[in-house]
Amino acid sequence: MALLEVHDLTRTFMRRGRPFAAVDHVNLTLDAGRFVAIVGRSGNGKSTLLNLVTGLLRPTSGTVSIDGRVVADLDDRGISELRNRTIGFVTQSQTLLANLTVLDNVILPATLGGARAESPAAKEDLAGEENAAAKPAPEPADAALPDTIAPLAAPAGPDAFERRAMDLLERLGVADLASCRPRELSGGEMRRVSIARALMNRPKLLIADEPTGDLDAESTAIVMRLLRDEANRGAAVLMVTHDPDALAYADAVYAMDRGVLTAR
Amino acid sequence: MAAHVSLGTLPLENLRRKPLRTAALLVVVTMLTIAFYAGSMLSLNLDAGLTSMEERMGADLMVVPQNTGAKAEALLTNGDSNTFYFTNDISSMVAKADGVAQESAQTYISSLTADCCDEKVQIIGFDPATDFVIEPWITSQFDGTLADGQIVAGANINVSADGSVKLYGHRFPVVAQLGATGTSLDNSVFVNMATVPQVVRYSAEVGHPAIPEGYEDKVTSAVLVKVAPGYDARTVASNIERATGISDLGYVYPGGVTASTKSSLGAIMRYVAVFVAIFWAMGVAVLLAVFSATANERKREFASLRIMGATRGQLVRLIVGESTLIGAIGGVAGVGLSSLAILPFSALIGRELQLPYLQTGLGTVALLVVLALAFAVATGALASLVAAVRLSRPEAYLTLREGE
Repeated sequence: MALLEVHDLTRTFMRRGRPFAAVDHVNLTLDAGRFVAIVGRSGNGKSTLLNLVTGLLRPTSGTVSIDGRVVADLDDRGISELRNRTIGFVTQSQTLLANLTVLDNVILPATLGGARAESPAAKEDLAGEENAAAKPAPEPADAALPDTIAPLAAPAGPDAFERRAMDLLERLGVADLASCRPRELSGGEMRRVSIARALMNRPKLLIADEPTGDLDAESTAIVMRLLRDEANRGAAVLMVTHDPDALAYADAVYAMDRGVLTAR
Repeated sequence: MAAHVSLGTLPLENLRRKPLRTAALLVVVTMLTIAFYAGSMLSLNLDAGLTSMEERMGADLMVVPQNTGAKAEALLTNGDSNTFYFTNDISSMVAKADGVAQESAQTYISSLTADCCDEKVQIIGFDPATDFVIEPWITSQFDGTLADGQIVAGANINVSADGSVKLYGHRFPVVAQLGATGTSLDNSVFVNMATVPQVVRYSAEVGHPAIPEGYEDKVTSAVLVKVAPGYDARTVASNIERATGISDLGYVYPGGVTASTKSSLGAIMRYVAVFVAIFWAMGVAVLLAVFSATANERKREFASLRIMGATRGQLVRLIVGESTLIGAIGGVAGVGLSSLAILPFSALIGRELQLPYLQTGLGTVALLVVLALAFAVATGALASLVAAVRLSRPEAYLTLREGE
């Protein structure tokens, strides 16, 4: 079964009193481990399609199924859970939370909705703690010396959430900005932090809306390699791009013109 | 493990990161709470004072010297202490009037703010044998007999450590101190009629004679009258005028004083209620405007949270959580500041208002605190609810687009 199935999807809006189809009877299938890119001119419905897939917009007709679940059939809790656990979404515009540090922005999806015990990052966290528990207790510094203070507990350090977030920031070349606020970052840096946030919960479906829009060639290569790695890891990746250099990393390329999606 | 930010801690983080906005909102909520809490507290205290005053008024009529009606009324409400008196045997003349069921004389002497006296107090001489106004009240709190030279002190009188009060250079032993009434009786000391000449003598000895020499044994400040059944107080006043042959006596009708005080209090309380309501409406309008403006600024932020997987309920809780925190902190500040301004200065407020003012009990205050906090929190939550619903609409992408 495909991870993402889009069937006859349409979304119409009203413009100057007339309806027009931003997404027009689109069909798309995306398997786990596949990387699909969509190209097309601005205003042709690419972002609308991605937002319909994530359930941030409701279709006028047609269906979107993710991991066997029809998005339109899910209630708010169900679709929110799907967005948190299954989907990672890099939006076209900057959506980092201004009041949080870069690190907290990246970690937030893992702590949302009490999902800690079940999120992939949390599973790694628990596994890490179990491993730590299995390790033998440290030897006392010197049991013969009564005035020697033995450590009561392991020193506090980064937990699995922090390790995961820092690893992603490291891979995207922005780890040194972990304690900064978004307003201190350039557009390209914010874009990379957004990508790290989208990957935090190890999503099965990664959706990226122009992920290299603000990036130079070197950063573009870093980001695209990371997205490719995610696909190789087994995630389905759906990307909208205007960047010809990014297309080389995709398994398939589609074009969108006036809301109609066609294979290239 | 390090504590990470979550939706639960995000409201606090958002407030911390916007100190100016948070401070402005806190000021608004604090002021609203002060208006609500302080306004309600003052109204309740005035009401308690009025009730207390009504309970202390056993007379239907007070006969006082010419032009001293206002001074006598002040004694009943919460005014300054005064000295005034007849120099004739008015009490026995009043007793002969038709319609007088019971009469009792009282003498009022004001002490001085001088070295001779601990403080300026109203000295009230009464006759325990005939009194029907003060005695029942004193008896309810002091079961002994008030001997010559002893005093019973009102609630606000500062009694020295040795249990006495210095008046006109003489230390009078205090046998009991009464509970608060919220009226000027709290600033009075009570002596029996036999003690009045002693007081006058002491006042003469320190060079401030309260009453001219020779009159100390027969001065009467007021005759309190209980009218016979079927008689009206004003008719009895006319009868007294005829019986005494004195046309320029002053008459005070305590029932009328109560009614006029009640009417003044009613007006004050209505003003307070209108003020609180207008203030609250303005405060809510300000809060609504602030939250609404903030909601527009924060569309992108909330769309972002939806993208990450926050439910609509969580978003509503986040916004309402922020405003509830503002409400709670502002509420505590408002209640705290108002309490500091009102509770320790109850006697001073009563004196300044010149109205019966009695601090309500701890239970009522505690209930009012809870109500004021609930009011503050509910106001904050209410003001943000519209913004919360607007921000958490189902199609988050549209919210995101609007925020760009």
